[in-house]
Amino acid sequence: MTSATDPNKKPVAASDDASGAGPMVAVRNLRKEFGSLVAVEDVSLDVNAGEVFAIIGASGSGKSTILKCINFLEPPTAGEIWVDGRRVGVVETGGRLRPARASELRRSRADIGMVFQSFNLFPHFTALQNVIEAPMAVRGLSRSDAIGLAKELLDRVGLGDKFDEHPRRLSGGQQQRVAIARALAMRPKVMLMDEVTSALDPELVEEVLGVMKNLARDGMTMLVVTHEMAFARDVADSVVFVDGGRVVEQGPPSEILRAPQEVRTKAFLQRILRTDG
Amino acid sequence: MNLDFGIIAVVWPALLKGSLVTVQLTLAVLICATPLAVLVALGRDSKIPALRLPLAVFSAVLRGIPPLLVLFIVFFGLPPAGITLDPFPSAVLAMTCYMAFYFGEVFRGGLQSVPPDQWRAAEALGLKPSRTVVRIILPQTLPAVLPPYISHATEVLKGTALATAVAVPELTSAARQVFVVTFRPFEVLIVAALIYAVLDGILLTLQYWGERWAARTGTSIRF
Ligand SMILES: Nc1ncnc2c1ncn2[C@@H]1O[C@H](COP(=O)(O)OP(=O)(O)OP(=O)(O)O)[C@@H](O)[C@H]1O
Ligand SMILES: [Mg+2]
Repeated sequence: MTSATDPNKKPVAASDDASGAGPMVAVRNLRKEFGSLVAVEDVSLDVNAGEVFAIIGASGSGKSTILKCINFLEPPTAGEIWVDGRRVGVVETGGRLRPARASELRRSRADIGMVFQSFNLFPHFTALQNVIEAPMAVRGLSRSDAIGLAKELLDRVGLGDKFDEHPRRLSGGQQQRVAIARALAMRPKVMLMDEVTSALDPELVEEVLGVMKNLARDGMTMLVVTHEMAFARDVADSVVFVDGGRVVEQGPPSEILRAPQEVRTKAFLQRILRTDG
Repeated sequence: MNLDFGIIAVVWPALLKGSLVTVQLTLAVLICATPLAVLVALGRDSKIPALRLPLAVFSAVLRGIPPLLVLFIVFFGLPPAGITLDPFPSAVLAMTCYMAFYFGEVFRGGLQSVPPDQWRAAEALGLKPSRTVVRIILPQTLPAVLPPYISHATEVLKGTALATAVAVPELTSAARQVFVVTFRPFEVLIVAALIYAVLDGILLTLQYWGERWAARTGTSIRF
């Protein structure tokens, strides 16, 4: 693979046409070990700008680890991560590669939004304070600019009347929408979403999925780990099924979800559909 | 016994001066020891063994020594080593060293009470560790930290009386000087005790406000 030897060359997707624009996110031969456990093994993915990329798979199959490796919350054991044509976590200086400094990693992370299953809002901040904190601290926005941006984003996720509420006064679905607004406030190039509806009561799932659909429609590039097969079917451009830390099968949802080729994919989908009722 | 609190009308300026020194010493120690304690707490649970292990030893040893001994080490032990400090800075330095490790344990417990996901969320946003600690993590430690912090702060307040041993003119020492010349130890000491009680009350009021704040924002609620 050329990208392994030439760190400055954008990784080029196999499906790319002559236009030359590389994928927004490229994962190359990613491997992650925790001690003796191999959580992710030889995973390569291409996510084009504006694409919604769904990652499905059983519990413990390595889905979250893949996302955390992309923004280096977990540094990969091996492999390459590219976002918008730039290596994440590795810097080239004077023809030599070295691990990124903490400040360089923070700059990369600022461009990569992440939303967690458990929301992880800052409980002592109001919704608005949650959203303005990072734009002010990391992007250097003035307080009034940050507030303007935060109000606009909270409006967009349907929380225009909740600016001054603390997280504990909000429902799970509302908290997760604040968390999405908080990530969007950094104007990220890609959003990583890790089972963002799994902790929600069933009646609250739709309002969050709705926000995600709007984001997709507005052209946000998203990597979404999800058990919501209907969302993957309707919204995703690509679906990848991972098992035991490896990519088993990948393709458009019409193929992966309707006509899986691999035995393990079929077994997983059957199990999911049965538990979903 | 024949009590005469009228004596206080005469000696109050001396007691007031002593009280001010006590307040200054307490504040100086709290202001110096608190940020150090946060660093100690972070270092004690750091991923770096070269930081963690010496701090663990230091913390165990220092917390096991009588505070008066630490004060003597600073006041009498350092001058032969070429460092001579006045009584007040000696007392600040000694009590700061000592309390940084006591408060360190308090903050350590507080930091452990904050879910690791809070660090993750701040990290994912690209926030600096220093900003994360100050803005995101420490405020959330308040419910866990405040009661033991205030009770240790009360120890600092009481502990300032030890500084009388190196001639810091704080409240207890002022009280002693006053009763030695007035021959009214009981009345003078009772009033000094009342002054300490009032100062303790101020610390407890701070605790009350802090707990109200935590309850209002829901910081004490875990998800
Ligand atoms: N920090 C860690 N330390 C050790 N092992 C870990 C760590 N994080 C994940 N693992 C292990 O790596 C494997 C993959 O975990 P991961 O969380 O990526 O799975 P997942 O597909 O997201 O599962 P789930 O659907 O339950 O969230 C699991 O075996 C898990 O126990
Ligand atoms: Mg997971």
